[in-house]
Amino acid sequence: MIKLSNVSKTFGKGFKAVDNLSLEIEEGFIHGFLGPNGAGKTTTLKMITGILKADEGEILINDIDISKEPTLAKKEFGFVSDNPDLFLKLKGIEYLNFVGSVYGMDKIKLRENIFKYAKILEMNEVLNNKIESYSHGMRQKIAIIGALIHEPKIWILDEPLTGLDPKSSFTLKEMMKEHAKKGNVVLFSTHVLEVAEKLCDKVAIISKGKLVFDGTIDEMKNKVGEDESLEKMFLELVDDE
Amino acid sequence: MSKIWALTKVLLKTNLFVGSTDDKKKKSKVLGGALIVLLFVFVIASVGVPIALVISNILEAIDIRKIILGLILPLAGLTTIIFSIFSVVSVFYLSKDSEYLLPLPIEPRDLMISKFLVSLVTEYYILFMFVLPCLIGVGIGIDAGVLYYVYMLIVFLLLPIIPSVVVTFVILIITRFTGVMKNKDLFMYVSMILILAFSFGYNEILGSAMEINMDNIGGTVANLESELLPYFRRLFPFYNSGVSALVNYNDLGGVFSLITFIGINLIALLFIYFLGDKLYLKTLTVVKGSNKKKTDFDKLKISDNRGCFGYLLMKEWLTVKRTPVFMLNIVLIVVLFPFIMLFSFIMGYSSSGEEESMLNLAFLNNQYDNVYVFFIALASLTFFTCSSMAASTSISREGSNAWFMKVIPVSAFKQINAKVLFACILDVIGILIVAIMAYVLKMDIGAIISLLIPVILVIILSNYFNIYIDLRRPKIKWADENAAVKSNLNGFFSMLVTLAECGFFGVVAFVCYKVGVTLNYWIVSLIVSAVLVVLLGIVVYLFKRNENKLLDKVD
Repeated sequence: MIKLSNVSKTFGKGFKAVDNLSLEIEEGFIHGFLGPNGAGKTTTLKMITGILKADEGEILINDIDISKEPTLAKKEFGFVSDNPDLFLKLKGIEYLNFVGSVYGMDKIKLRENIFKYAKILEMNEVLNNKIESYSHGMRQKIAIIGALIHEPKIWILDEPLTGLDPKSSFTLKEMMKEHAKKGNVVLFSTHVLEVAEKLCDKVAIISKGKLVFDGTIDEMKNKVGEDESLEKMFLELVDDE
Repeated sequence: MSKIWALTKVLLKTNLFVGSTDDKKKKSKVLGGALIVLLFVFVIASVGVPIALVISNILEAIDIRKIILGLILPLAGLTTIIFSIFSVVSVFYLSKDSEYLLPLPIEPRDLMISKFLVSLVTEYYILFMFVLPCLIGVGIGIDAGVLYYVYMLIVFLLLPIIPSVVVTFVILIITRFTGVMKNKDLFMYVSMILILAFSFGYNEILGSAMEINMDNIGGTVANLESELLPYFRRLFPFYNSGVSALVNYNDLGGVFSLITFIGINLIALLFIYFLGDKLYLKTLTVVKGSNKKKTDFDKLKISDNRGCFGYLLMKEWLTVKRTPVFMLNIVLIVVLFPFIMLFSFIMGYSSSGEEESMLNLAFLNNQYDNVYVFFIALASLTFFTCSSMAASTSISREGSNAWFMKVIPVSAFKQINAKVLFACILDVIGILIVAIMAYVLKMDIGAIISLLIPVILVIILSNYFNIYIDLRRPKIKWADENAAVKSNLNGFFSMLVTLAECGFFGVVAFVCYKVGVTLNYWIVSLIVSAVLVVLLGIVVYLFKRNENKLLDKVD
């Protein structure tokens, strides 16, 4: 479970990117994280993963405080950044070996998982090439494989479908469903509301750093008071802010 | 014209001044500016003033200003050629802005001239530091009026244009008619070899120009005038009018020369402008990444048992090895510098036959029991590591990958230790080459080892200081790798750290000399090493204690 309690983050001279945010991401659900550009989604995800430190509040990853025990907390999740340009000078396989060693993976398990995910995402034939030679979508795929090979219970994915071809996009969505079904956590941010509507069990909407909604699509319909598409409800909630 | 100007401004920002403009960055820019002014004043004092003195006092009978200007301008041209190889390759071909600009309705010639102007700015940085002080020195020496300085500024601004045009043209031809751009890394290595070749040539020319025998300075000047100047005039004929403009700044001949010099440079600029249509666009569109090979999964090498630390170390090495700019600035500088020294020492040693004088240079055997000699040797050895930038740019080199350091379940302390160890390995290789050099010069092997132990400890300590500098002010927002190392002030700060250490050892040497301390060098080595181990222990403890805060500035 991921638990954020009264988390805030301010940049520069008083720009509050995240304002007193409290949120619980439970096991067994795919949790969508939505919001307009600059709403604070990526900042929140960066605080959850320890890239940024929260100015106020507490973030627990499976009951481990990321600010107090960062190394322990980081073992609990796999993270895909919105920028897949990772270690371009390394070969795909070198990057995955590096990630495996960082998470202290057993050699046999690592080989198994590299083979499994590389085959699913159709990357097995290019693993010996440098990442800089990959297309944007392939870089996204290698970042996804790197985030998942150590079999984390919590997946945190920032715009994971960007750049993926339809087949890989479908595969990843199925993987997310399966992972959540097993009682794990999937938190992912997206701008594509159709994807969120079809895929997510729950959505959290953030606007100007504040949480404006957190619940199921049905709960959202009740809140807005109309049986609208997610797009219209989203716009209504965001405009209200 | 307005399009060219707008484009140049954007390219300047993306290529040279990447980063946010918050207060911290502004402060760092002010600090950087202050350091540059300081260095400028230092160069004026150390180069400009002696030139002024030579011109005004020593050789009134000879028109030395003509000779000095005749040397300065071509040497500036040579310097431009060396440095512009990298800046042209980097701005024209490695900068990521090309892929954003190519789809825009911009004339190739406008893009070409804008990029050329950006590459030129890098040259002004270097010429500003090393050529302008010399030209000012000439001005002071001849007691010149304001007009000289006006001419000087115009000549200075035009100085790097033609050498840069030549380099750009050659690189365009190479990229257009060979397949070298299909592999960017290979292209960078070819550029590096070109730079090294030019650098050696430059050293030869500079060496012969500097061999001035003060006892027979008239004869030396006559040699310069009769041999080197005609050679330079043939090599850089386009500077003749520039030299003439500065020499005759107060008569009509000077005006005519200046107009000629401006005209020649304008023609060069027009040449490069129209070359954009013919060549540049075609070379850009063949730029490709590495060749893709199909992978046989069964033959893939999956993780061996080197452990997390080993992989962190390997990642550092692979990234540096496969990035030519890093390879040149991080590895080759550290390793080649002592190697070149070794080579020239051996050559000098074998050709001169003056065995005694060479040995004197290397601090005589049996002298180390004089403690001050030990510390001078220690300061000298430490000085050899001042070009090392491996630790002081190690966080900056991560660039857009820096966030990864904060996401992985490996403590910041461990990651930093891997980076420090990587930097130490490189520095120790450099120092071992120096040690071999000392051994070749018949220095006592015991003395060498007794010095190596504290020097290695100094290297480790320095690299912790250096990485701390980079942790406090990492430059992770860069458009290309050059910005991470070459225009990163952290490298300069780390050099100051090393120089401060040298200075400290120098002061200790001075005190020991004054007091007349004598002690067996092994005992001295032991004492110094013990002090360094204690210091190192404190530094490592502080890093460990603050490990959760170490990466705070890496955003």
